[in-house]
Amino acid sequence: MLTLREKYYDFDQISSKVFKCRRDDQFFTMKIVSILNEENQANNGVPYWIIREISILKELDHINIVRLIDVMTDGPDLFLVFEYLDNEFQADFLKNPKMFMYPQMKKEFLYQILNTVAYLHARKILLRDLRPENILVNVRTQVLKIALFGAARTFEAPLEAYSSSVGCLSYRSPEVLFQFGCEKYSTPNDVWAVGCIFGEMLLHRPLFSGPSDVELLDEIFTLLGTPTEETWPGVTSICGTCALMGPPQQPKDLAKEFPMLNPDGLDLLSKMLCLCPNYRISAEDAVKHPYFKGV
Amino acid sequence: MPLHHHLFLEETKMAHRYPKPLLDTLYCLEDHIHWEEEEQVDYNEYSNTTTTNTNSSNVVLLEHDLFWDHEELPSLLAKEHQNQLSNTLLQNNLVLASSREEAVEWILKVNARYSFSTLTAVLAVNYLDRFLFSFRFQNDNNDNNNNNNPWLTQLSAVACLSLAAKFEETHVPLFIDLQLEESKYLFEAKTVKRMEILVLSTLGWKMILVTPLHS
Repeated sequence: MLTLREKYYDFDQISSKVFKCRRDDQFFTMKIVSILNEENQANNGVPYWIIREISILKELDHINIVRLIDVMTDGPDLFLVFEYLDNEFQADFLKNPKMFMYPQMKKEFLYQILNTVAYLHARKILLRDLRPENILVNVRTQVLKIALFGAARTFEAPLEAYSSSVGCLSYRSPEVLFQFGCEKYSTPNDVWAVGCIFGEMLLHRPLFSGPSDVELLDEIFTLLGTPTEETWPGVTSICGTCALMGPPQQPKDLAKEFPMLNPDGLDLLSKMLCLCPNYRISAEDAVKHPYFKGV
Repeated sequence: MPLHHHLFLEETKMAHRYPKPLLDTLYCLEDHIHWEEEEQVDYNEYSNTTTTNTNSSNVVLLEHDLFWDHEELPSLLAKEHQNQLSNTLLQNNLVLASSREEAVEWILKVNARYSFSTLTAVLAVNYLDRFLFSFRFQNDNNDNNNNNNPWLTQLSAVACLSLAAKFEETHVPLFIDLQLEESKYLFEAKTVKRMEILVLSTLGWKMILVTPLHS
């Protein structure tokens, strides 16, 4: 087996843990993950989430997913070799000013995101933490790539490891917010996140931005109405303390909130932002929605 | 073979049939046993018992529902086939075959002890087989005068079971607890950790497996 430096060369540091490197005529992006010298891992070897996450990435082959090409070890470090995305690809795609000049491009990118989510869900993989920051786009070629490492989990993965990395709440679904502390992620949560990104594309600002879970829920209910046992069977038992629900609010008219959207688009958005996870549209069905006719 | 060895062998064979307390007293008499010699002979015993075990576990593997759609099934079957290994290598290398049998037995025991799922055992044995049969590993063995290093196989078994448990189970015991089940060797955490990494890179981090237990 070749060592790291025998296989890759011309290292060029991009950030503290990320390098650009070369093998033959091809460039790669190398991420360094220090895992094996962590104190708490001393007695139990390679952390389970690393094993799960890397083996998942190894199986995936999708144009819209940043591809993991190679995994090397050297001492306590893991070196993940990903496909190289040139300067034309920009992270945090919603911050790209060109995004907002072409409405058709937004639809194209939304389609690519949903298509990827459907691909992952078909393989029992959840994104859990889909955020615009992890999405890169090439505006010229209109290709979108999702960087999954650190985000994707299998359905069954236990959650302790992720609870500490709460970070951004904005894209969390109401069912996850209700069960804060004992989160049960599932496929509808990912669709909700895409719905939030859809809204953000249209409004040029985050759809929901609540700094805490309570405020975020309030924002959600202000737009979509407070759920009732009719719109979301079992909601009262899920939410536990109904203090989280706040005073009942009526849903707003999405057509007035999103005047730029045609009826098909409004229909898709409302189905993705359906409060009840069981009634929310699946990624697979969303890809087939009439809104995407002609994409 | 000296007489007391012979007697001991009879007793170890009995160990498979009689409950432990009965035999404990007999073991005490044999303080100066040369373990290595026994191992060699004991393998036959193991291969006999595992043949029946494999048959019964086949029955378990068949108890699943096959509700696949028409396109998915062939692709899954193709993937499953990729993970199956030919038996020729084991037939040609009896030493490897017997230490592998012993390692599989150990994996199944620990799997039962911690009530891991059947899939965990299937994964662990698959990792072990793919690791043992990898080209590089075979060569190493041949270089060592065909001495199969039983401790190396056992170390691989510990690492493979640990990896399988981490992949599949929600609670994974520490390395030290994983090794409670009787085995001739006890490996330090850092040794198992290094073996885990060797197994992962040898298998190319391909730890997801299509099995008949796939759901």
